[in-house]
Amino acid sequence: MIPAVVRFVAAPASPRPLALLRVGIAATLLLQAALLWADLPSFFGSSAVVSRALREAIADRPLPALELDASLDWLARHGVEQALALRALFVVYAASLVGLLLGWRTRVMAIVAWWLQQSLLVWGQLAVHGGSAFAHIALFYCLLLPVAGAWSLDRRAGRTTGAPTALVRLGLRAIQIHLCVVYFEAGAAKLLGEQYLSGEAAWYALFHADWITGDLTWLARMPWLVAVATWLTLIVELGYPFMIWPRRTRRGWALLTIVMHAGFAVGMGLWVFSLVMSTFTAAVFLLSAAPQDSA
Amino acid sequence: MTTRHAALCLFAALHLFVVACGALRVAWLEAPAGIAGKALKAYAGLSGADATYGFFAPAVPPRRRVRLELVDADGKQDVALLHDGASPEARSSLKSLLALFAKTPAARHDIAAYWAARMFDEHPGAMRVTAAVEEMVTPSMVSYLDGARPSWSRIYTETFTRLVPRR
Repeated sequence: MIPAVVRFVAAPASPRPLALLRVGIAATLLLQAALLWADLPSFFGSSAVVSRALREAIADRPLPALELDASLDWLARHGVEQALALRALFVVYAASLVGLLLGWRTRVMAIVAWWLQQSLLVWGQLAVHGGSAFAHIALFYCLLLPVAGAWSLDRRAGRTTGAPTALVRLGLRAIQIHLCVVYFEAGAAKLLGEQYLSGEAAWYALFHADWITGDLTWLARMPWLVAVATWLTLIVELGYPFMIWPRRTRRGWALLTIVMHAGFAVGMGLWVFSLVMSTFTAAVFLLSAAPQDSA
Repeated sequence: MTTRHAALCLFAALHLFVVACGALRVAWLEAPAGIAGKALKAYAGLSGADATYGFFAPAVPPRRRVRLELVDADGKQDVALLHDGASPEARSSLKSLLALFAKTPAARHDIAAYWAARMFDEHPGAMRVTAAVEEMVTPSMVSYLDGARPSWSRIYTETFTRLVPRR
């Protein structure tokens, strides 16, 4: 029993899964940053949709010293205009993501990206949704774990060896268990809702997304298809912690999960959320962590 | 296993414990007592371990929008929808803000007053602004086939009057 537990958390693992997490998250957040660039004035400054006072009132900041507004105030005291300071911070954020993507000075880049992602997108109310929340979690794992062991400039420069380690294994286990909690809780919360039990939730979700270009109301004539989509979501989420571990069902369940997220992306426009979650599952459950598969 | 790795395992276990507490919405994580509790809450916030995952549960939330109705000194009316950004990402953020608006009645007046102040600023001729938050009422599939269509229902409305005419 004890040797099995030790193997579970300490058997050396290839750094490639964590490297895939790093690359996937950085690429997704760069895409998100490009989409948000034009919208910066909508969320900060005099024409913002939400005032600074309200931003401060509604955001739950664990450490006030890390506030974005405090940083902008500090820059203003040194003669930097707010709009310019904001753009500059956003450029620094994007640059840190590029560094993370390439695996250059990876830990420093992860720390900068983690702080600015939280400051701008979450506390700043610029992109408050599940995708940003999970990206924040992924960046936290990136700053703690050895994510530069493969496909990185740090590896090429010899700053990291890329050898299989016990720390990689422990990190993978932590993320895997975290994902099981996430999916099971997501599924269990849906079980309490009438829309999910009746199989109609997918129909209502279509109307929640205001950016769908095509008319999908023809689905009203095929309620069985709507029910299948709704119940499949429940099955995938509730079954995740049970079906993702056995070797025989792991690949299939991981692919099913990614297909579900692709459905969220296309059907509800949740592109960032879906890419982040698919990256998580692909990295820690699809890609082999066997030491012989090290890059 | 080395002592260092055993310590890291302990840290990982504590991290996952906080994750589970966040998912289960354990009360002490919301209002912690003592220095240790506050440190744990700060850690949970910084790591994202305090997140809850019941997205679109127990029901899919309705689509919401902000409608701002302006009336000038001559009684002429105009309607503006709150600019919510060009990208789907920014629109998602406004959705989150409106979900918060729907959930927290105490914050509604302040948010609506801010929107009205913005309208007074952008439209110097406006004497009165009515801020309305509307929710889409989506018919069931059966009702849709019977001819029912989505409609907007007001969940909040408040009118603000300019006290001093703008010069």
